[in-house]
Parts: sequence; C-alpha cells; structure tokens
Amino acid sequence: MMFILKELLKLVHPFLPFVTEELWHQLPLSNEKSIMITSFPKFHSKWVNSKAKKEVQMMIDLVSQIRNIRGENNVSPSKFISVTIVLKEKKNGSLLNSYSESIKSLAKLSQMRWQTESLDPKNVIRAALKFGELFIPMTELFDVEEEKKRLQKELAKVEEDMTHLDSRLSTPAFVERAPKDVVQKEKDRFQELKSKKEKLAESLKKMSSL
Amino acid sequence: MTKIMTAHISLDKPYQPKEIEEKWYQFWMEEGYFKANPSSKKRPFVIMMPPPNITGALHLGHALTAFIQDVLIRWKRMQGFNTLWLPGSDHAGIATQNVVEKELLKENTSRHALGREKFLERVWKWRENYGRIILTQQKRFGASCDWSREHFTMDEQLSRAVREVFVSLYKEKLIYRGNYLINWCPRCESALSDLEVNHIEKSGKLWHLKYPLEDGSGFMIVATTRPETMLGDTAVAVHPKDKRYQSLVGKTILLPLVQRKIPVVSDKAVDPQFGTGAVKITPGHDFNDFELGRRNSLPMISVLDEKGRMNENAGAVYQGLDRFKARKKILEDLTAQALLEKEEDYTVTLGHCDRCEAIVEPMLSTQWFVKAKPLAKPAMDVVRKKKVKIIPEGWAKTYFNWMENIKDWCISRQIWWGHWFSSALWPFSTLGWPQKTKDLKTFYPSTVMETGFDILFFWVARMMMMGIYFMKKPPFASIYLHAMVRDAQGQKMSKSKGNVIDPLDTIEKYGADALRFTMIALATQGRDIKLAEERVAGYRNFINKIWNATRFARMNLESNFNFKEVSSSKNLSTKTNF
Repeated sequence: MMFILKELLKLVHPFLPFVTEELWHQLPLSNEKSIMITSFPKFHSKWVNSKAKKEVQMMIDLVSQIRNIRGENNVSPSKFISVTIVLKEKKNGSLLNSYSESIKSLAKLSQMRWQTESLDPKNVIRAALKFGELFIPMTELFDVEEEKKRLQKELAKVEEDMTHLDSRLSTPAFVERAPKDVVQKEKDRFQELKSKKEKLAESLKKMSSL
Repeated sequence: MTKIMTAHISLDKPYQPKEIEEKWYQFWMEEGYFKANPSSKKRPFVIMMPPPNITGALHLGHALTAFIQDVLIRWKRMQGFNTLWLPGSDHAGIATQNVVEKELLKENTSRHALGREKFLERVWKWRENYGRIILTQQKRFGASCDWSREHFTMDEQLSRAVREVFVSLYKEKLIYRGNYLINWCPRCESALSDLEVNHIEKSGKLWHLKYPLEDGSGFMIVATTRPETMLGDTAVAVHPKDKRYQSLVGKTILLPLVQRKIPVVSDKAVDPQFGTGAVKITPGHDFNDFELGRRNSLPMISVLDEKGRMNENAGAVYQGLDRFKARKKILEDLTAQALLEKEEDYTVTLGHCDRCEAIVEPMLSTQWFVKAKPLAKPAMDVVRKKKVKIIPEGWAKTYFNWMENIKDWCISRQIWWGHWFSSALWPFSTLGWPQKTKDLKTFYPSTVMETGFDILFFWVARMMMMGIYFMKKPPFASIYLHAMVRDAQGQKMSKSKGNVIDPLDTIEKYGADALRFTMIALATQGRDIKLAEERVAGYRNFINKIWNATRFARMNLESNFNFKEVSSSKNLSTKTNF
C-alpha cells in the first residue's frame, strides 16, 4: 500500500506540486530529499495482474449495483440489507465467499447468499450482473406503506408545480416579454416535471401491486 | 533512513495549502532544482515561456499557460530530461507607454509635459513594479522555471540581438525604407501594425458628393463615408466596362472646394454596384485607393498631420482643423454650394487603435519594412514537411492561409521607449545569440512552444521566420496552442463585466494546487475553458482526499516502519495485488 501511495504521489506531482511535496516529507518513503527529483513511474506490463484485475472488477460491479439500488430507493446509508445472487457458474461462489467480508462492509449487507438454481420471486428488485443476477427483496429496502405515502406526497407536489408553471406559460405577457432563454428554461422545466410525474406514477403503481 | 520531517505541520487536520506552499517553493529554489545544465549529457527538453507583457498583473490566461508548461516541465524533469524552462517578460513598447500615459493623465500631466527623460524614468519604474508583481505571481503558481536565466526583452543582451538582426536584414536588403500607406494612430502618434488595428462596425453615413466636370457638361456623383479626405482626392475612378461612364473616362473633374483638376480613370477594382459606380480616389488615405493610385500613376496627397488635423495640403480654410471638425465644415461648405447630393445611413467598418481605441487613419509615411515573403516561405515549408508540428492540427490551415497572404511587415514605431520584433527573437536571443554560447548550442531549438492560439500570428509565426533565418533551424519542434479562459457561461472575462476571476485570490482561498488541477482538467484541446469557482472548490476537496488517504496510511504505520521497494508480488493476496 505504501508503494502505491508513493507512486501515486509521484504521478500527480506535476499537477499538484505543493501538496505532494508536503506529503512526501510526512511519510517515511524514501531517501530522496524532494519528490521533484525522483523518477517518474514507468508502466510495467509485468505488474499487470489480469486475474486480480478481473476478480476485483467483478466485486466492484456487484457493490456498485447494490449501492445504486440503495440510492434509487432512498435507503438510509446505515441500514443493513440482505441480498441474494444467482450465479451462472458455481466456481464464482467460492470467489464470492473469499470477498464476502469486504463486500458486506462496502455495500452494508447483513447477509449475502448465493445459489446457482434460478429464482423468480415476486416483490424483488433485480439487477443483471456479468456473472449472474442480483435480487433484493423490496421489504429489505423500504416500508411499503411508508413508501406509498412518500410517493403520493411527492406526486402531489410535482402536480402542483406543473399547474403553476402551466398557468405562467399560458400567460401571453410572460411568453412575449420575458427573455427568450428564460422562457425556454421554464418550458424545459415543465418537460422535466412531466417526466418526473410519469416516473412517480409508475412507481406508485408497482407499489400498489405489492 | 534519514528524513526531513516537518514536524510543526500536523496531518491531523484538513489540508491547509497556505502553510506549505511558500515553504516548498523556497526549498526548491534553494536546492537549485529549477536550474538547467548546459553541460548535461541528458536529452534536453526546452520550453521558452511566452514572456507576459509588463502592462499589468497576470490574469487566468497567463496562469493557464504557466500551469500547462509547469506540468510538462516537471513531468519531463522526473523522466530524466535536461529541462530548461526559460522565463521572462516583454517590454511591450507602445502598450506600456500607453498604460504609463494613462497614469500620467490621472495626475493631470502628460508624456509631452514631462519630457523624454522624466517619462522614461516613469516607464522604468512601472517596469520594476510590475516585473516584481509578475514574478511573485509566477512563484505562487508553482512555476519551476530557471530564474537564473530570466530575460526582459529590453535588457542589454536582447537589445543587442535586435540591433544585430536589424543591421543584418538591412544588409541583405530584407529591410527597406519606403513611402507607404500605414495605419496611423493620431492619439498615440505612431504607426501601427495590421494586428494592432481592430476593425469595428459602426453606424455612420454615406454622403453623395457632386463633382463638376471641368468642361461644364455636368457632374459625376461619388459616395464617401469620409468626406474630409476629398481634399486629397487625385482622381475619380469607374469600372472600364461600366457603360454609364465610358464616355467620361479621360475627362477632367474640377475638385470642389480646392479647385484642383483631377482625371477620370478606369480600373477593374471599382465596384459598379457601390453607390453610383463612380468613386473618389484618395491614395494618401485609403488602402484600396493607394493600390489603385499606384497602378494608375496618380499623385499621392496627404491632407492630415500626425495628430489627425488637416495640414497645409488641405488648403488655408481647413488647415489646422481636427479631422472631425473638418468633416463638418466641408459638408457645410458643399451644402452651401449645392454640391451635396444626399446623405444616407450606412454601416461603416472603422479601424480602431488596439491600444487606445482612437480611430486609425491610413497615412502616407516613410517607414521601415521587413520583406515578409522571402521569410514566410521557409516558415511554411517546415510545417508542410512536418518538421514543426502544430497542435491542434486545424490551426495549420489557418497558419498557411495567413502566411500565403502575408504583407511586408512595418517595423518602425514612433515611440520613446522600446523596439520592435524583440519578441520574435526570443527563442535564441535569450540563449546569448549573437554570441555562440553553450546555452545556445544545448537549448536551441526548444522542444515545444506552448501558448494561446490568439498569438499564433502576432508572435509564433514571427519567431518561426526569424528563427529559421538566423539559426537555420525552426525555433521549436512543435507548437501547442491552448484555448481561451472564459467564465462559467462561456463569456470572455473582462473588468467591465465584473466576471474576472483573479488567480491570486483563488490561490489564496483554495491553494495553488487546486487551481492548477482545475484548469488543467478543463483544458481539453480546442475547447474554451469555462471556469467557475465551484470547480476549484471541488478539486480542493479532491486534494483533501489525497491528504486524508496519506493521513490514514501514516496512522496505520508502525513506528519502526521501513520502506522497502516491492520486488515480488507473489506472497501478497490477490486483493492487495490489485
């Protein structure tokens, strides 16, 4: 790790000369009196570990997908959830096991299960992975009734905004007199609200079917 | 293992750029890390810093130039090149004279009131002051240039190079003195190069004047936007194929107000669609007319003096009048004689002085010129043969276009302070030329000329011409042109708009590294750099992350940690390997 940090500081030194020099002196990294006179890192093809690259990339994808789903559903960052992964190949199972502690801490998981048999449950959020598919039960993510209320509230707010904007945009005095870019901005905002409304309605429909 | 530990700065808090930047710059200077070595066996990597004008403090455009060059230099230095980044500043003759004159105006005095000697004292004082400000700014930017080789375009060494170039071009008949129509600023009382004239469209008038034929057979009507120049008319011209006027060619006009006899001539350059198709010809005050006058061997009369007042050739009635007052009087006099046919609104394109914004007058004058064509040809060849690479490539086309249409270069200036073309000699004069120095041998030509695209012709093209002529080699291997810095909305930054971001204020607030990183990240090829302060704040946070990562790393080190180079990765886990 110290090696990586050292090389990284050298890499960014031309861009960030001051802070890298300071950090260079804060760490017992080398005998060189200044980072300025060290030699710039070279690319070493033999240092490229393709196996590590591939494995870690898989784990990064998995964690990103889980984080995305948490984000989209406004799941609190402190909440632990459980997930299930359906693998295409069994051999990846042991790989998942070996990384499980890291994944669980990075994606805030209470449990991570995996299996190779296919699954088709209801009321889950699913996401495709290169090596399989990810399933998260909706009940893990939110309280259905609370979520319905929240969505309804948000929908009402969007509809109200749309009414306001619509009346403004149908006032000839505004459309004619206001600067063109202002009018265009308002029109764009209206379109944005419209698509937001559609999305909210869609989510509500899903939620009601639970 | 020995380490210089900077114990008084703690890692236990967010990154505080202010505490460390000055300290490290000082350290680098003391250690002599910026100095180039002309005896080194390493491959040279050389950048000649575009010398900023001493007319004022540096702005973000200068900062960007410094940042890009510093990144290149630091990178190449770490890669083991013998790097030279040569700094300096440009005296910018007429421009500096003007800013000093503006200062004098505030004190209710002037250049002429002070006299030459006192005025020059003021200019040198200005140079000292702004030279110092610029130096301080560049140090804050973190610029790792070789200050021991700093030059000023008016210092002894460079002035000597200018004299040498002048004499040698003169001997080779590449410099000549000629009567020529030049751009003249009546306020600066100086000749201006084409590049120092801004052509601005303004609403004006087009006056139709009646010129009587000498034989009394009638009038010819000519249109003009500058009636005062009629006093210097030496012909009326029509297109040779214009049927309306064929019978009149060769006749004589009696020029109103001055009663001078002038001929009606025909010339293909006349546009039959403009006005009535007959035009007055004033070779002494119009570039097109000057050429037409030469072709038709017409006399050339100058009716303005150096301050823009009518001179003795304008006749006793008008002599001494300012050009705009004369215009008014001439129109009144023509009206009185019923010789003003009509007046209409018209959009005119007027040349304005780049320095003081006064309306420029084309004037006859004896000036010194450099023959540009013989110098331009080799400067085009080296780019065609890819001996010099222009990046982004698109500019090469613009470069050829300009070079192909190049006009002789007026190099004389009616100024008290400064000389022309010193900046064109920058890549070799700064290394000791005309002496054959070790520096010149090692560091010419430079590796890359990095600058804003706006001075490709003003400066870069001229360095190419002079460098090839005097050094027999183009002055740089490649030309890298960066874009302009604008505000977040893409507008030009200007004091009057109040959208200027000052580089030093920003550095004060976020640190030099944050500003450097932001501008470099935004400086993708060929696009304007739209800078908003939030971007700088964002990259400041990014730097803080590096800071915290290091903090974290140090916290987890054992007290007896000894850094060893990683030689094998075999006994590390896959994750660590990654």
